[in-house]
Amino acid sequence: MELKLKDSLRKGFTLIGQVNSARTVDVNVVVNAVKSMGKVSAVIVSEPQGVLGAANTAVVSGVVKRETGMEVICQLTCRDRNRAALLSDVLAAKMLGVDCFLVTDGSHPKTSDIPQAMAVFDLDSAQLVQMIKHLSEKGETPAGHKAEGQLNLCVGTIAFPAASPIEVEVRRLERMARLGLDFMVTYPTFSIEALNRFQSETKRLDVPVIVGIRMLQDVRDARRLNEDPRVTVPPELIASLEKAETLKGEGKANACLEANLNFFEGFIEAVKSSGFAGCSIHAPGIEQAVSRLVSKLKT
Amino acid sequence: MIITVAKSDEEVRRALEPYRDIVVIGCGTCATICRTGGEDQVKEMVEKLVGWGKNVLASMVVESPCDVRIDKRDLRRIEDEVEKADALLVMSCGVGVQAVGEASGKKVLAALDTVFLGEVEHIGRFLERCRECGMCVLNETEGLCPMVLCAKGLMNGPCEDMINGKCGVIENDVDCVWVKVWERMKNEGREDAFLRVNPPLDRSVKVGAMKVTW
Repeated sequence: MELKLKDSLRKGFTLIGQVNSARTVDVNVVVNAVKSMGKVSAVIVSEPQGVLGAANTAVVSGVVKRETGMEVICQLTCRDRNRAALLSDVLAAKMLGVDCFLVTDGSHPKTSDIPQAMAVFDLDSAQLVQMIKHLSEKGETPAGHKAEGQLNLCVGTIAFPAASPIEVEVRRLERMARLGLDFMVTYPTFSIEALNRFQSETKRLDVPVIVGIRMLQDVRDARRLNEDPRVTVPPELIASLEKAETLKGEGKANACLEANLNFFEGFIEAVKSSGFAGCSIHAPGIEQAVSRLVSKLKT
Repeated sequence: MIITVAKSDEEVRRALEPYRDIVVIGCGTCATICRTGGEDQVKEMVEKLVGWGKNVLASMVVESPCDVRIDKRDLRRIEDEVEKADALLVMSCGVGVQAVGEASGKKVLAALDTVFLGEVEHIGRFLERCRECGMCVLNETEGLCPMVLCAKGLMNGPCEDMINGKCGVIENDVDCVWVKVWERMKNEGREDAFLRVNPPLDRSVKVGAMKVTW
């Protein structure tokens, strides 16, 4: 039952979904989004970008697990919690049936909607990976603080295939790979060439790579995402979303969905042929699109 | 060097509001270099205070106001004025303000904000280089302090905000310190050193005001 994801990543192509936590007390916001994703093997509960104080991902992951029975990967960032709070969240998540963590440093509060907040970074992502692996293997933190019970945890991080200089990014990942990193999820990527280049650089690390897919609500969403210097949305995808702008309401939504499906169906097939471990599909606000995309793919 | 910047006139004036008889104290060391508490700035401050209707009893630049012994020695020259003053307005870093308070036993007010511990590239260009963590890691990080130079203070960077070798958090096109660390290691043929995981810092080292005694 436990650690299915870790096994499935080594065995075949794995499709997972991603949903953001939110600044809300309405649990259905997240649970319904996950339920509408259809047949995915697991779901990442992530922190919304640029938003501080969203409901704690460890708790939300536990709720999603309870409500959907799905395997959940809980994103943990080092931004808001010191080492004790991170440990506390890992244990609480595990208590709620969540074994798997996606660890990142986290964006700086300065670039968020609460820029005055203290940036914690008591641990960094490498130290957090180290803590989780140590807990999992030895039942204690690297500093020797024991935690009771069977931990058996799985930990991954986010990789940046478009990072430059790429050799620094590869070394950063290699540092974590040496700690026993179980998987990586790439930052949203739309270029199979960039992914193949990244794969050739990181193959020797022997860590399964899940490709991050980001579906786009409409042309505005695409343009906003394109402002992130780490992402390049292909012009042809923007053009087809732009065409949908001539329509209204449901017609427009359907045209946008079609544009996404046309692009990503082939893209995911290419990712699969390139030998990646899987894809993580994120469609913020249009989670039902994940279900449509997944059902179109050859299994 | 302790780098200071002047507080706004408005803030200084507000702090001085309850007081009439004032002594102005400058700093002959760091704040003189920073041009925030040297002879000229003390003179300007006195003129300002007079303009605000204050009674300036005396002013002087103490050689290094952060040293209680020197404060006691130098303030002796204006002993009577200090005694009569409602408050001393100190144009130095926060250490100087507190040391002057301790040496004089008088009400002290700060005219400056202490911003960082930095190097002087030239007068008018001061760069933060140390955050006095009490556990210097420069030997592990190629002589570059990640506590200060990394926006997140990461001990094992870079992070997701490294964009084309620059820091995506800090404005003004600042290099990512972890890329620089990597380049220095690479130039020395020590690429593997980058794979080492630097341990978390011991935050118990800095609790409350530290003391060095022997």
